[in-house]
Amino acid sequence: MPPTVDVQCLEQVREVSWLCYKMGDAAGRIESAGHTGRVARVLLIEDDTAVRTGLEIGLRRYAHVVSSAVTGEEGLRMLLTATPQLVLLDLMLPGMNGFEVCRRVRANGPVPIVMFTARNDDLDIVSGLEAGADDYVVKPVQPRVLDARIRAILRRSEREPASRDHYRDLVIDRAAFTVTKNERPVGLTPTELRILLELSRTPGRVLSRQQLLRTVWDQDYLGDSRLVDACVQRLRAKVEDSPSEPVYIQTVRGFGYRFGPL
Amino acid sequence: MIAWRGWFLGLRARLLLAFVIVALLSGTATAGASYVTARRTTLADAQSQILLQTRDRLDALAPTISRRPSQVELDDLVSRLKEELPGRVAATYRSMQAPSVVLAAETRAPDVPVALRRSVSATGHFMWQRIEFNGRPFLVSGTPMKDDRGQLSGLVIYVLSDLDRLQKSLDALGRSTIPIMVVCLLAAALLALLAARGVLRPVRDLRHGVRVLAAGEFHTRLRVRGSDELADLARTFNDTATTLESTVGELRRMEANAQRFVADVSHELRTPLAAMTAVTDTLDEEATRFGGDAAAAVRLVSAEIQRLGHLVENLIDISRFDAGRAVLRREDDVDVAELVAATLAARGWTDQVEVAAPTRISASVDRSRVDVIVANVVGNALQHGAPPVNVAIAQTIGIDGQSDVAVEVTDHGSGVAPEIIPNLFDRFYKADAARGRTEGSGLGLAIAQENARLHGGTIEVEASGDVGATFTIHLPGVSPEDR
Amino acid sequence: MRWSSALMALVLAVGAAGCGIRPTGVIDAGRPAGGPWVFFLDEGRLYPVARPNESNEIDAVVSLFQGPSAEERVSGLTTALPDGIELSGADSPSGIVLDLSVVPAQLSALAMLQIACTVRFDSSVASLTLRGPGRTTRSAPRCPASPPAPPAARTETAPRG
Repeated sequence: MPPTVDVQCLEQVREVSWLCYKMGDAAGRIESAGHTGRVARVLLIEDDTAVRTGLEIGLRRYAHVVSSAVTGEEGLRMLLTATPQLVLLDLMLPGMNGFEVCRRVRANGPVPIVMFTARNDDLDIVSGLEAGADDYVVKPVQPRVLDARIRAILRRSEREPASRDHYRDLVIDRAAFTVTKNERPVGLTPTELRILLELSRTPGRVLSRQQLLRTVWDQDYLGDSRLVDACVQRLRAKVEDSPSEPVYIQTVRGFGYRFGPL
Repeated sequence: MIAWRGWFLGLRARLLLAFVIVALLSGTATAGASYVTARRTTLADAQSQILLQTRDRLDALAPTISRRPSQVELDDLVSRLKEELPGRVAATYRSMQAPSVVLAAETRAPDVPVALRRSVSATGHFMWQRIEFNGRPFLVSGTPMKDDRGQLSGLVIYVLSDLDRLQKSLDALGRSTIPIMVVCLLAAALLALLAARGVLRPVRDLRHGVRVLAAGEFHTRLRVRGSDELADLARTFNDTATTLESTVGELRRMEANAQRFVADVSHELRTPLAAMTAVTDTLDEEATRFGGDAAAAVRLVSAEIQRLGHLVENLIDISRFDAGRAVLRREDDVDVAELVAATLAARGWTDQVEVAAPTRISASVDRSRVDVIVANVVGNALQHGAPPVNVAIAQTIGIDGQSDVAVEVTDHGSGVAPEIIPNLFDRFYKADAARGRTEGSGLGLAIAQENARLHGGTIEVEASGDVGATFTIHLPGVSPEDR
Repeated sequence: MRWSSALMALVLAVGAAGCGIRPTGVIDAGRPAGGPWVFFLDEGRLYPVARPNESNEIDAVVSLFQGPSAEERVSGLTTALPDGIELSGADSPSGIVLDLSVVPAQLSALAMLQIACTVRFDSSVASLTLRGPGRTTRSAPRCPASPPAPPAARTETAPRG
């Protein structure tokens, strides 16, 4: 087996991109990671030609399949034809702005969305998460960081051994990767589903935001805990009878979240 | 005491004093002058009347007076004349005199002055003078009598008139001016106060306006009342304030523009950087395909692109601090030791840095900003100091019961010269000019300090001799009540 | 300092100028009382009026014939002598003879008394004869030994002197 480069530190820190040390020069090319299953069909919506070209090159090194759109409208059209596994969305788009595109993509289906924020503006980040994005990266971004995000997203969609759990009017099918509430299927994004699965794996046990970040987003201690909060909020809106008084996903102040008790 | 003294030196007091003194002086002068004049004319009138009446009566009575009276006739004459003449009467004829009782025995009336008697007999004229007796004024006149042939008969008549009533009425006149003077003084005082108010109010407005202006409210304006010098002053003030407002506004605009420019420029740089950063991996990996110089060139470009990206991020951070737009996001119960460990791990420094910390130190901090602080300080220690670098985390209790965190980073390098310590946290300051290019942008410590300040904390440097430097990061936590 | 001394000077000046009627030295008021007089009438009674400048009888009569002065008239003095009467001559071989410009018979008793007293026709003089135009003559009565006392002082009006 040809060696794969396993780069250790890859997380881009939010405020300052300090260089990550490479553990020696990468020897040889990165093998096609096809056999590890960590390859995705990516839809890139980015208006700047140079950035788009650069990202295409960079992602292709990691064997991802990239389709590009220049505008939001084009991206929405390609959403239907290219059926991507995730969408990389630049917020600064001409014409229809990035947030609107995000909302429409989310409305269309559960495909994960990662937004490019050119500014470390909290407002942008919060608005993007509210619009339905699962994660965000700050430009300029190194392809390996992007690759790590992509792989984390793919991991979320991994199915688990069969089990169908009933909780009151909620049915979680771990193998089928579906959730039904009151006999009706609930449309969750992979991220939302993954959170629910993680929490319900150990009902009653509190998982901290850091833990959830690690297991769901594959980000470490320095990640942005708002990702977790935004996702939980969306999950509650879909799963709870009254989202302001959650029954399934409860907040434990100062610690994190837990599933139940019911 | 001091307040009183201040009042006395003030405008109001001075105006009051001036007005009152003017009123006093003019009142006194006027009253005095008119009193003197009144006295003079009144006195002159009264005297004339007394003297003329005396002579006229004597003229008229003269035919009835015997030419050579005896003592009895003389006494009789005196008692007769008493009814006719204004005052007490005395008469002398040769060696006789009447009333035969000597006047001087009477204590209530004075003697006929010797000087008068002498001048009457010397000149043969009608003579008079004013005398004072027991504090009272008297008019005494004396005239020799001429007979029907126009010759001095030897008879001399003296009349003594009491001027006391006149004196009293003059005194009353003088005294009557006093209430009027008092009223005038009061009126003067009132006018003074009114005048003072008229002046002081604009002055007070001006003072208030200046104070407000000095405090930075450049939109303040004074109301211009009237058209005197104070109104002029108010107008000048308004003009000045307008100029100041526009100048300050201009300066602020310029500053904002400058900051926005830096932010915009940095922002604009991000897009080409994003494109280039996306391919640095590719460049690095494909570099070996080229030979010699080309390979070196490609690697160089790749490295510099990463460095440029780093610099731009720092610039954006600094400009955000300058614009005051940096926002602190505190999270409760952050495990500082774990955070530091993650920071080091993320940069691959775990082997080079030793962390000493108690098991659990939790604080309320902005997680990512603390990461930046620690990374910048430790990175600086590794680069300009020398390994091994020790990090010691301690928790202290502040004055208000809050839990503060102190992170001490010590290196074993050559230390920092004391004279450059104040400049360490300056932007783009590079202590080691001799070392040439370093990896940092010169902004690392500045950013670390701004982040610490945002928390309300500090970074302090201690460099003793040649044993390496110690950077201590102080982060105040949040007092238990504020949670 | 300047304030206080100025104020004091002012007060002193006021005080000195001031208060009270001050004594004087001896002042000359002119002619003495008495003197030759002529006789006018006050409310129908003889009233002597001083004529200090007429020291002889003839001048006195001339002054009498001129009548009371304006001021004297204002104060109520009258004369019984006719207006414009003049003395044309005087003689005194024995007694006094006066030549008048009017007929003596025209004169009233009061008028003749005025002349008599003015001329001092008392017991020391032999006779007083009045001659008029047309060789009219009249013998005047003697002035009473002491002319009647003038009535009480009349009110003086305008001050003189």
